[in-house]
Amino acid sequence: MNSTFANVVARRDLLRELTLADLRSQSQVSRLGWLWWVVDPLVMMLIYWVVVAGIFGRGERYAPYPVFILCAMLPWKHFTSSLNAASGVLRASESLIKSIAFPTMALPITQVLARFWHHLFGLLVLFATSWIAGLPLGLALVQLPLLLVFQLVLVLGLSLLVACFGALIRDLKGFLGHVMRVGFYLSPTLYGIDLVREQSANLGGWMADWLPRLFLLNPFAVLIGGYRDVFFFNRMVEPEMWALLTVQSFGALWLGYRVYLHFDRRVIKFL
Amino acid sequence: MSDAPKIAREKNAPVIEARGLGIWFNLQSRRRVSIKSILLGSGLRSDQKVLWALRDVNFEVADGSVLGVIGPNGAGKSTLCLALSGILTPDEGDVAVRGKVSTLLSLGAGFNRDLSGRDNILVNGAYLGMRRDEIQSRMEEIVAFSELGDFIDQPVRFYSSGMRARLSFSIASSLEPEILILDEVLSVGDQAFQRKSRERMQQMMARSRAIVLVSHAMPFLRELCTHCLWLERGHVRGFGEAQEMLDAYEAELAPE
Repeated sequence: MNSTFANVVARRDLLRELTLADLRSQSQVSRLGWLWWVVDPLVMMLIYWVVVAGIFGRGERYAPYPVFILCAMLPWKHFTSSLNAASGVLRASESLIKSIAFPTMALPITQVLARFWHHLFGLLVLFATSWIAGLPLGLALVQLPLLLVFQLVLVLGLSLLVACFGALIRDLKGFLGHVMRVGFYLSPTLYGIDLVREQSANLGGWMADWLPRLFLLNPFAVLIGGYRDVFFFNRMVEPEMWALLTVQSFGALWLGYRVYLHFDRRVIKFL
Repeated sequence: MSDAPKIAREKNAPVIEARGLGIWFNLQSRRRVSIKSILLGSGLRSDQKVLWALRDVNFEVADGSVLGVIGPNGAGKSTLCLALSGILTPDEGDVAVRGKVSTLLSLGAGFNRDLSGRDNILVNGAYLGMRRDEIQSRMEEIVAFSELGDFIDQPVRFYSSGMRARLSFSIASSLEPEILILDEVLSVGDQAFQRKSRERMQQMMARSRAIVLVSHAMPFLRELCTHCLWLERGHVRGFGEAQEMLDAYEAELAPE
C-alpha cells in the first residue's frame, strides 16, 4: 500500500491511534508524565535567560527576554524533536513494515503530530510567561492559528524528507544533529532579525541588502519572526512574511511528499 | 487491501494472478550507505550487484483453492508473500490480488511495550486497517480469545513471549479476510492454546476464498493444498496439482 495522500487520509484512524498511543506511552514511561511537556520548555527558557541576560548582560535589547527566547525555542524544539524521531522511525518499525501492508508515511506523520501536541503545551508556558512579564496580549493573537498551520506543514515536509533518507543512510541521525545545531545559531533564535539588519548595514556595500535576505531564506527565521510579532511586539505580521512562509512551508511539504513517495516501497528493501 | 489491480478485472478472473513477477534486492543496499561513503564518493556507485529474489514468476490462484509454496531456503517464498500482501511492489511484471488480504507474517510486530494490551489492540487493529468502532466492537471477543485475563490491562513489557504471541494472534485472526497468506504455519502458546488457534485458523481458512501457504511440513501441505508452486532461486521450478508437485519435490529431496 503506497503512501499516497489518498491512502493516508483513508487511514486517518491509524494516524489517530498511533498519535494517541505515542502520547500515552510517553506520559506513562516517565513519572512526571505530561508535566514534562511544560517543564521542558520552561527549563530551556531559564537556561538561556540566565546565560544571555544574567551572565552576558545582553537581555535588555530584547526585554522581556524570556518571552523573546520562548518564541524561538518552542517552534525550534518542535522541529528538532520531530526530525530526530522521523529520521529513525522507519528503521525502528522494520518488522512491522515488513509484516503488515499500510502506508508507512503514517509513521513519520504521527511523530510530527505527537510532538505538535507537546508544542501546544509549550505554548501554555509562553502565554503564562507573557502574562507574567506584563506584555499586552492583544489582537495579534488571531494570527497564531495560522502560524501553527504553517509550522505543522513545514515540519511535516522536512520530516518526510528526513524519514526516507534516515532509512537509506546509516549515520544520518548524528549528521543531522550537527546540521541542526548550526541551524540553531544561524536562525534568529537568541537574537532578532533586526540585529542582522543592523550588523549588515554596518558592513555596508551589497551585504547591507543581501545578508538579511539570505537570512530570510531560512523558513525558521520567518516563523520565529511571526511568533515574536504575535507575542513580543503585539503587531501584525507583514504580508511579505506571510507570502514567504506560505511558499517555504508548502514547498517543503511538496518536496517531502514527492521524495517520500518516490522512495516509499523501495525503502523497504533497505531496512 | 492492496493497490488497485493493475490487470483489468474479467469475469471469473483468478483471485490471485502473477504475470512475469520479478523483485530484486540490491546486495550492496542491504548495507545502507553512510554520509562518509557519500562524501568520499564511494557510496553511490552504479555497478552494484543485483539479486533477483523472484524472476519471471507466473501463476494463478482460482476461487476456492489453496496454494502451497514450496522450495528450499532462499527460493523467494517469503518475498512472494511480501509481494502478494502488498508490502513490496513488483520491480518487473504484475501481481493482482482481488480481495481483502490478510497476512499472519510475523506476530507481535508493532506492539508498543509501554502500553496495555487493550491499547495495543486498538493500535494493532488500526495497522490492520480496522476502523475504531470495528475494533471496539470486537474488543471483548479478542480479549476473551487471548485468555490474558487481568494481564490485558498491564503494559505489554510484562508479558511473556507466549502471551504476546497469543494477543497478536487473537487480533490478527479476528479479521475476516477473503485471501489469507500464511508464511510458515504458526504454533502459538501452550498446547491448549495451540489447539484453539488451529481451530480458529481452520475457520478462517474455511471462510476465505483463497489461501497461500508457505510451509516445509509435507503432510500438512498434502492435506490442505489444491495446488503447489515450487520455487527455486527465484524462479518457478514447477506449478500444478498439489499431489503431483509434492511428489516431485519429495523425490528430489530424497537421498539417491
